[in-house]
Amino acid sequence: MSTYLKCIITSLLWGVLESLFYLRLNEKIILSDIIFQFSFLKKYIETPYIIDMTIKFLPYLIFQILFGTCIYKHFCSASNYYFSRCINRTKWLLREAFLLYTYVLIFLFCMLAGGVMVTVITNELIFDLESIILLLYYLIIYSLWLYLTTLLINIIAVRFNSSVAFIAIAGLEMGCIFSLVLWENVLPLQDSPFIDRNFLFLQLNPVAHLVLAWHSSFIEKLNMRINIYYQSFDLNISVVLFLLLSIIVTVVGCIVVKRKDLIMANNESGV
Amino acid sequence: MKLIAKNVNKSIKNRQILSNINLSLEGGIIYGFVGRNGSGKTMLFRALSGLIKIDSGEIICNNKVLHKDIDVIDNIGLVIENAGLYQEFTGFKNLKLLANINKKINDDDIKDAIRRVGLEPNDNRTIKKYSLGMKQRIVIAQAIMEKPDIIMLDEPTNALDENGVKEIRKIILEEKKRGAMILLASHNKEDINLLADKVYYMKSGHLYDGR
Repeated sequence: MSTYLKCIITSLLWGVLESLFYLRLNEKIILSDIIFQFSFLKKYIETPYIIDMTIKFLPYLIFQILFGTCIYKHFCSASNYYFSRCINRTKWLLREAFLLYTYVLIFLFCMLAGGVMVTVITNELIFDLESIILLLYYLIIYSLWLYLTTLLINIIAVRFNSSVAFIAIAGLEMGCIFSLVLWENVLPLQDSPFIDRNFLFLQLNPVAHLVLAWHSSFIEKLNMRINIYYQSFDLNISVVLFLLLSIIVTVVGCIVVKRKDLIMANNESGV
Repeated sequence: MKLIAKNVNKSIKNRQILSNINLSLEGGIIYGFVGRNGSGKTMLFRALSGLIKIDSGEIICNNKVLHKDIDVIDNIGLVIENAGLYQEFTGFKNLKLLANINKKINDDDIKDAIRRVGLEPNDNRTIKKYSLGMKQRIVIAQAIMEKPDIIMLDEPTNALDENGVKEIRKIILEEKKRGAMILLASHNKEDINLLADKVYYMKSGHLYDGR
């Protein structure tokens, strides 16, 4: 089965599976409720939540596993023959990066579609303006994050090897999730005189930018729906952050790929 | 077609791989490169084709400087020792994947190249199931399928039987007649004696003129 088919099936299945967590028979469900489900819930930081978060991270990890070598694989088998035909490696990488971003978007759409399809069958699904705006923010923030982490895995694999790449990125992501426990005890976000300072520190954790419910918005009605901590953490900050990081990773990727000496025919086996 | 190397140097982890290489090569000639294992023949081919960067010097192909004007030499066919293709695909699919990069040829051209090296284009076996000789033949097919101006062959007759060696030698001479510049590295003295118009010797990264 091709990688792309696996990606679509995984995302659809996970979307359906996620829907089981928020389906309530004979009730209306707002689209934003579904989006919160896919964006690491709408909850305060507590240990059980961190465990939940790890589980909800799974589909994104699966995508990173499926596509973490989509660019790197060209440096393994047939690399000499492939790149001897590649007149401009920078253009090649930009084309591959664009394709990767397309697959990220397809993945996210299919996941949401899986969840929405089940909801539409069993409940009444309400689309309102705030939900549509939140959906757009979800797609932008998550697509940029998934794109930059997956591309980074590929680039680190080209520079070192795939094991180092996966351990580094997955390790970093898990580390960021587990470090949220600091904000339960050491840097509390409730009942503390230092909430503002602690919340500022929270924004230094990349994973915090994925939890839409912790953000604020200049759009009043949307702000009332998210922002459970009543702090200033605009959604646009996360958009700009991930966009900048995506650009940096893409540029670094172009440099790494252009400078790569194809001394070995297969980067992975060392032959 | 002209390929010029001027004072090319390359070291890897403080070991000099290529040392002050100077070459001036033209189309329609077969250049033989002989030398022991580790003398630098494969690295020279990698440097000339653009697969590796050089530390100093210049490589110029038809007035274009490698790694300045172009990343790799345009229209080159390469056979590198021990470098394989995609194991999970058939011979035809492998060549099609590679041909799709520049889209210069069609399916019939690919099939012609596969037949020329004595293989069957409709063979449904994956490369993984090929014998060593078949793997060598399919790699040669990918090098010649786009009728390149420069062909670099690193030990092309490895793992081939007597008939296979004769077939490949015939192909090399046909490509020379077509006007291609051919660089041939071989341990097989007969290959060099029969085919090469000019011979170079390599030793510890240095290049010496032969006949």
